[in-house]
Amino acid sequence: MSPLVWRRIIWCYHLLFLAAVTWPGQEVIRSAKPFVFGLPLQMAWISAWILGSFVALWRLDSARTRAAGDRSLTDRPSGPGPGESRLPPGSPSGQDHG
Amino acid sequence: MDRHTLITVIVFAYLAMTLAVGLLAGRRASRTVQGYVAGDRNFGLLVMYFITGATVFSAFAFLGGPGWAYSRGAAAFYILSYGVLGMAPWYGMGPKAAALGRRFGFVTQSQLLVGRFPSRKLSALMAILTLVAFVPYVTIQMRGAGIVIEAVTGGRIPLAAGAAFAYGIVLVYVLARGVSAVGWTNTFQGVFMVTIAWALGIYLPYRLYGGVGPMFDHILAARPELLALPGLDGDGGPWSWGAYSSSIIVSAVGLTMWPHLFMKAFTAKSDDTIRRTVILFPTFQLFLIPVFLIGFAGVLFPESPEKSDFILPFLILRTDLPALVVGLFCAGALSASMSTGDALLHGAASVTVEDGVQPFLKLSDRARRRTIRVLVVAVGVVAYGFALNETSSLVDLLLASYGIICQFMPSLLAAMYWKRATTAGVVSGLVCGSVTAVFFFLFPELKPLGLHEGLLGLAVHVPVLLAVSWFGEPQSTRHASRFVDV
Repeated sequence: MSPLVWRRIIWCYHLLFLAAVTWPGQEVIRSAKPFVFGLPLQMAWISAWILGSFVALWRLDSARTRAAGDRSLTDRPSGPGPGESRLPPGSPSGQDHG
Repeated sequence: MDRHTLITVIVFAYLAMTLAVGLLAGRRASRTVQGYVAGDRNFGLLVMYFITGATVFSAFAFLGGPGWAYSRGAAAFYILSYGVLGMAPWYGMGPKAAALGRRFGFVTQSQLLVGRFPSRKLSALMAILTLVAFVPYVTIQMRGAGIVIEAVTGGRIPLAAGAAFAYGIVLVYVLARGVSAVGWTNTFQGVFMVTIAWALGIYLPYRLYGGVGPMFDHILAARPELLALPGLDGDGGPWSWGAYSSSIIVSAVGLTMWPHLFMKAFTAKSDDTIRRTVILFPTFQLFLIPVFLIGFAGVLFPESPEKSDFILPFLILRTDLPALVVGLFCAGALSASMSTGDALLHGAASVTVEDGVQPFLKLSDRARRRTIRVLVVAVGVVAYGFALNETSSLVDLLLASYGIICQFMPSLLAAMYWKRATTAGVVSGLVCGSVTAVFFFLFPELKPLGLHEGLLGLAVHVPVLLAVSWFGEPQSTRHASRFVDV
């Protein structure tokens, strides 16, 4: 999947995460039982969303790095990578305060 | 050597090590404002990971978190919920802010905002709001340090003297080495606090109840109201869903808006460092689980501390743990306080000089560094005064600060992503949002559904920003594009 698709997935995931841990989403997982690894269900529920976020962000980063690698193979020797400054630090225009 | 003396020696040895790490760090940083405030934009992944994690997890999490789990039960789960939600957008925003910092030479978030929306009033407003939000946050850290030292010395060193001593050390290394000292001490302290939290969070439930599951079984049987969401309020009555949910939203919106965190985007060596810090942040967030377990372990303990924020040291000192373990734990709690307090003192002083003074009085690089140092001490002294008199819980103090800090988010989003935003729109939104948040903070009985004052502030802020910008004179496309199309 492309970084763009992953970025959309990340957005959707974190909106669902927000809905799942606030009212009314969290009301569905309101009870402490059954315990999961000894933890109350609500606590395990929030922890599962946190772990999911780690996995989703890691997949996005892998996709982004792969895409950047592909681009650098086809574009070499072009300028800085995606997200990098278009001006080197310390360049005369780099001191411009707009 | 008696038990209290041995624990005290361990804690003081730890403080000496922190001071040494702080002073040894940053010897190679340049003697410029960029070196002092932004570490010459040279922090790698290890330092960025721990500086972010250790800065977010302060005395608020290490002492206030267990305090809330102990006294308010499931209400504490809001603290577990918001961190990752707040950090995830930083995957996109952080590298963009860093790129703008490199392009224009920004070292504070206000400089970024004022670069896009030129206004000295806006710069001064940001500096004032930052200081107003920072002082309670520094107060939390100082009280945390004082609580730990008072507890471990059996009251021989009172809270006031303990806080003064711990923050005396912080002042020495922040004044001497700036953000480089903050970065390396946070790395040292971060490793320490995570290790201690996990070890004790698993050990205490086993020691007192025979396991984590059995502990919650006991609590469910004796105090079921503690494990029912959304938990309890400060008076022991049920907390409202409105307050619980809005606390998560406001804290998530405000998390990366804290200047001492936002400014770290300007210290990173590369954009990938920022992105990977965000990816790894959830691993740090889960450190709250053992911290809460420690708080829950105190619920059915036969004795109670004077204040809920004391539950952690109270429990540790009464469970027959070896003095070495108790000393190390207390050092971990001090780490949590000092690793955030140093970043806050440094951030507050830097923002005040760079955004509140520099736009009005053009100081030389040397004079700016000197003024920042003077202000580090001044902010420390003011917060210390509050730390001695404060009566609210640590978590309540932080939640109040979030009401103001979350108002920065719409302005910074507008600066980086919306070409149609105008200076008038941003200033009006910021003023209206902040005034609304302060109003509901002062008159909490008027808050609808118990919603957090920060969320009510945002409900006013965003429409005002949109409307005033939309009906006002747009900025030149060329100027706006230099910030948005990065």
